[in-house]
Amino acid sequence: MKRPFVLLVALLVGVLGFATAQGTLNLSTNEDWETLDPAFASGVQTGAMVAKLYDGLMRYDYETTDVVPNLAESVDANEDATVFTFTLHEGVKFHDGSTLTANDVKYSIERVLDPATASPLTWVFEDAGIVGAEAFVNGEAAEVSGIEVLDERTVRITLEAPYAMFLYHLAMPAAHIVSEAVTSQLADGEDLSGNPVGTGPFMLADRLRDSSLTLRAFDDYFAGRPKIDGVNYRIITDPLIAWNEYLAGNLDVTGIPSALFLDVVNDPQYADQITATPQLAVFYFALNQRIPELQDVRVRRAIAMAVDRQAIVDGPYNGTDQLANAPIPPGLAGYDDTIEAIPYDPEGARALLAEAGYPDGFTLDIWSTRAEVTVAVSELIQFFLSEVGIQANINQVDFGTLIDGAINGRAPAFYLSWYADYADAYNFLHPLYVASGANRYGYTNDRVTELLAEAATKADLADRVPLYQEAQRIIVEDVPVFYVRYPVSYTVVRPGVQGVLSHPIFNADKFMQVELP
Amino acid sequence: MLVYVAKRLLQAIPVLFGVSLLTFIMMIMVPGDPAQKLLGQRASPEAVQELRTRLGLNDPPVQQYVRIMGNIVRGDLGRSVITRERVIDEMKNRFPVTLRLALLAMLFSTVTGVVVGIVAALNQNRFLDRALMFVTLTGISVPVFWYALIAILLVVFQLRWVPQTGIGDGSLAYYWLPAFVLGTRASAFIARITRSAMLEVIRQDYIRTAHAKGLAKRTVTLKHAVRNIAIPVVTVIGLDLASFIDGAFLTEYVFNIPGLGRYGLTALLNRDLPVMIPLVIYTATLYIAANLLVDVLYGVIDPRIRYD
Repeated sequence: MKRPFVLLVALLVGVLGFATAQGTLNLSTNEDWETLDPAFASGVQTGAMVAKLYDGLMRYDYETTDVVPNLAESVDANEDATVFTFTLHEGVKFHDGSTLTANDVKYSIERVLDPATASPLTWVFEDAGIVGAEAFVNGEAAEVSGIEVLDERTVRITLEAPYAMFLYHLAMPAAHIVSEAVTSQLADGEDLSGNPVGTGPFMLADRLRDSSLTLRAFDDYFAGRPKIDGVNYRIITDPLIAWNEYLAGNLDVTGIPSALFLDVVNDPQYADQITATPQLAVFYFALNQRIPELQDVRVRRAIAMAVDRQAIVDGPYNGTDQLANAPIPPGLAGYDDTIEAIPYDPEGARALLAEAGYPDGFTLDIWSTRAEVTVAVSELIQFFLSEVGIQANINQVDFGTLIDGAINGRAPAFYLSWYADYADAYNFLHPLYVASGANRYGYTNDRVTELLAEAATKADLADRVPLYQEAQRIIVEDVPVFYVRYPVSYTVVRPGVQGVLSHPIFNADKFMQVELP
Repeated sequence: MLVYVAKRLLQAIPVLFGVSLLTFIMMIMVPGDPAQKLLGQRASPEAVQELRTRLGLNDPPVQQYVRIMGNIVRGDLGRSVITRERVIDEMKNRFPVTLRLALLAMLFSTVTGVVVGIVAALNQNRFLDRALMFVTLTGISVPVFWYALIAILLVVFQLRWVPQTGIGDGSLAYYWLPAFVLGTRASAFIARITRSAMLEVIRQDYIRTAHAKGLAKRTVTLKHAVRNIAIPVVTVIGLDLASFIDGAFLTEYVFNIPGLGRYGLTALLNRDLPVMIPLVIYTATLYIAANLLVDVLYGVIDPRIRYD
């Protein structure tokens, strides 16, 4: 009679041991995902989720910011980097059991470009200059001629001109591959959120909007099953509540609420739980050149000189971030710590304003989003400007209104941030100082445009960096914006939870490395 | 009575259109729209314009309004501009959550409110009355956001009486605290209304008569007095119920409850008109229905009231 009992205990211990060795990672997020469909994943949070459910041809290395082949087993490029041949891994399965083919790759890219999809992310492929993409977008062709399916496992993509960032683009959320069979069945206006069938390491198990989302490890994942059984996300709107859920043991990873930030960071009991990750990002205060006063570089320089940027980093940001001096953040090739940021010099600022014809200053509207920290920063800048005679008013609006106002020349000055889409300095220069998208302050400089056009054609990073650095120096001299901070992100990870990546790119972590105690 | 109800229902139709039109006008007059939100930071102005056109946001306002209302009249609520999910599905998923919270909050606020009100009235100007009225005044004045947060920190994380925030497996264990928080204000309000109604009633001649003919105090209170305070109390309860079923967005937000209030709040912040308009019509319908129900109840409570 004793033996079965012992066996039962052994079995129980075995089961429990098994459960704790694997188990579920418990996370939270402060708002629900707007979509689980790569074609619509324009935000950081949706992009991070897309990386769990789907795969791109390329992905980020888990340790560095290099891109490495993912669904592609091999990538061959011709000499001038305009023709790329991708050979897919054999037998890659979608979550529904079907097999990935080269047709799915072509379909996924064309789906994003197709005007009928109304994807906000067409630029990911348009900017890369895939042959025939423009004709397809304009409805002049039934397919993108530059994407050719050579056989079941081989796809060739041809670019009009060399574009050094192409492989980075293929690691972006919009370039994650969907199943043609599943996606072509969607109703008009529907996206993949309800049935996110990808090839990714996790599949959607359950979702209750605004409440929770559960992922289950995909047993047939082509790169091997993840070490954990699943991930349980809860939507927790208030960071203070999320922090308490962490303390209560209900969450494995969380952020630190700003109200408690210094207490937690300085508390030795959390020292081994805190991970600080420098972000590939820059926060800047933009001066819109559509405003007559701000067309004079002396005025823009004077404004930058009037503001004690260190006080902003030390105040609203708790002094934990690095003071920014230039557009390219540390962590990217092209970052240049020899560039001297414009110094804090209110006397000099006043003199420069007088020289520019504004001895008594002028009135300037600062447009700010309603985010608490942004308002605090805008208020500090307002104070510093008043010290040199510039009467600043703060106009609180929402993000869309701010952007509209900037483009129409109604928003003279505003505080914004830029987070990397991919890990190359091009992403911090071209969109912000050349293209019309994020360059909302009317900046143009022919030399900068030229330098970046040239950089885009250089396949070798070492050839691009000097061009980036020259452009960066010109931009800093022109003061279209002044730089405030390179942010560091702080997370707290439960002791024993390993392999949650501290990676500066938002969609790099596929939770393949995560292990639970 | 039936004629009266039918008349009221017919009157509701123009009201609903009016409410939807007013909401629509307010929403399109406020600057900003979902296109920028959808496109994120990267979008060029041309891309924003293009998406606006695709989403129909560049159409003349009259056309946009007619399109949305046309869908609603046909029974197809359309899809959210932001999530592309069918609005009707989301409303169906969220209604039971909000209803459960509302009914619990209602139960709590009615029972405590009426009892506190009666007890206070019977002890008028004594210490108990003053203490209860102080508590109810606090209950009405305290900001819900702060109160909810404190309740969570104390009850969930200090006392551990609730496993976690959110609705967990959907059981009562997760609902009672938000229902308590949501019901507090209503409870305090009901208590104060009940007290003043009760004070008026117990000064009436027929109460004195009841006492004089030797009835027990309890009988006088429960049979003669309470019945006659029903009208003002039912009015307050009816409107509270409507506001609860409408979705208590602050409570739902802080407690992470996926109800209709959360849905409406998100839609409002995103300028998601195809979600906003049906939700506003739903809200207006609730209030109209609650008012009608209360009016009909008057007739039941007091047979002297007739609607013919």
